[in-house]
Amino acid sequence: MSLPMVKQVIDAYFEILDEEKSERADIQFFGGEPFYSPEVVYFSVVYARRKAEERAMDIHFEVTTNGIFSADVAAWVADHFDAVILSLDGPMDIQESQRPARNGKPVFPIVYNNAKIISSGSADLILRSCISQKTARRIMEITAWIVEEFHPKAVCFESVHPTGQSKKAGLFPPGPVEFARQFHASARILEAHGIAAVHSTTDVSICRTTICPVGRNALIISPDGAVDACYLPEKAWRDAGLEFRLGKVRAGKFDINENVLQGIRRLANGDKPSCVNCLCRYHCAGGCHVRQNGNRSIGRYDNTCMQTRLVTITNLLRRLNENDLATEWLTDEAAMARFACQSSDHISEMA
Amino acid sequence: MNDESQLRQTTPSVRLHTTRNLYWVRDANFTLVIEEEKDVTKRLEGDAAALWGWLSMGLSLSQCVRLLSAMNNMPSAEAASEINQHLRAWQEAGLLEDGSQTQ
Repeated sequence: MSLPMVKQVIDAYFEILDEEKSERADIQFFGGEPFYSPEVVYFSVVYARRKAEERAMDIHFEVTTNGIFSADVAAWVADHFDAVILSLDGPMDIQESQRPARNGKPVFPIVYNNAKIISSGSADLILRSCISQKTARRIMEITAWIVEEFHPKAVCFESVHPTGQSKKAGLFPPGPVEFARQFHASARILEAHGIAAVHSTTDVSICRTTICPVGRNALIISPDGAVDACYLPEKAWRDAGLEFRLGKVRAGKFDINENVLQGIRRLANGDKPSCVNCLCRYHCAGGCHVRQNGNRSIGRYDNTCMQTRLVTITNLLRRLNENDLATEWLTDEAAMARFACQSSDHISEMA
Repeated sequence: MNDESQLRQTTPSVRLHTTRNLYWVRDANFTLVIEEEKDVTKRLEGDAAALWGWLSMGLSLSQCVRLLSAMNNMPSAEAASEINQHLRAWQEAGLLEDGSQTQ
């Protein structure tokens, strides 16, 4: 994205905030990797903060990054951002096998060092560990390592999303049962250290109608000035038959298609057909609109849904302080399988 | 005169670096720079704070010129001149030293 485009986008955003008499601005950087265009980040943060200052407005900056940058940049990030979501899958062997650098050189030492720097700064550090079949059994080891090495606000465990590239690299999603068991045990360790354990679709502390920016009126701006509702590549949502192109940045303003916007709001607020009998829908909100086809028949769950169902149950039990019950249930594979596949959670329909 | 010709160097290069006992802390709207030994404290705001942040990351002068120029809608030569003024002020305040004199 060019600097003039960045400026147009930020100006247009503040114009909306002014119209809405908003007292807070939120700017998030993600990609790809935002620091592949570092000047865009360096410029945006200073320029937007200046605009917020002029209005005595709070501003919140968040970045999702692979952490591959210099220690000086890490210190700047720690000072200038409120939240940093850093992809760190685990100790060296895990990180290097799941996220090898294109040039074959080890990147773990860089990411580790930068995580340390950010961890000691004022920004909230959120570590995001991508879990594959190979690493599912090591979630507790990953957790213990993180607790020992860093001071994150939260640790987010997410399953590998299968793509052509991940399959080629031998990375497949973990089994739902193994993941649920390991997540529960890890969450207990993290929570004992005051660190939140996050799994994006199973946050039982809130009820949601969407788990992502779609439907939240977020404006996701691409380098060419396209304004989308979803951060996935255009091809991904188009292939899923969805229209997430909200409009374009034109002459310093967001030119938004109202019909598309309303359609997206309706999509995010409606139950997916396969979710109507599932108790998790209040928290997972049907998951990703693009990747999870909610138009399956009622009560038919894929592996992602099953994982969500199992983790949701253990999260609910933990929230009720029923840790022993959760642990006991997690040892009963038959019970877990039964619940994971149960087509309806309505009490009246349970056997 | 276009920006390129305005940026042509007319004086010798000077390598500036921070002094040994220099610390800085970033707050929401300003950066506080402290030279412990000389007992100098400087509060940087606006362009000065932005420039300090960019330089502390190792950005080159030309990158800083580009960023400041875009920030303030000013020609590159003007941005370069403003940057030089800040650098001179920091040097005079004892926050920066001429690298050639301390090697």
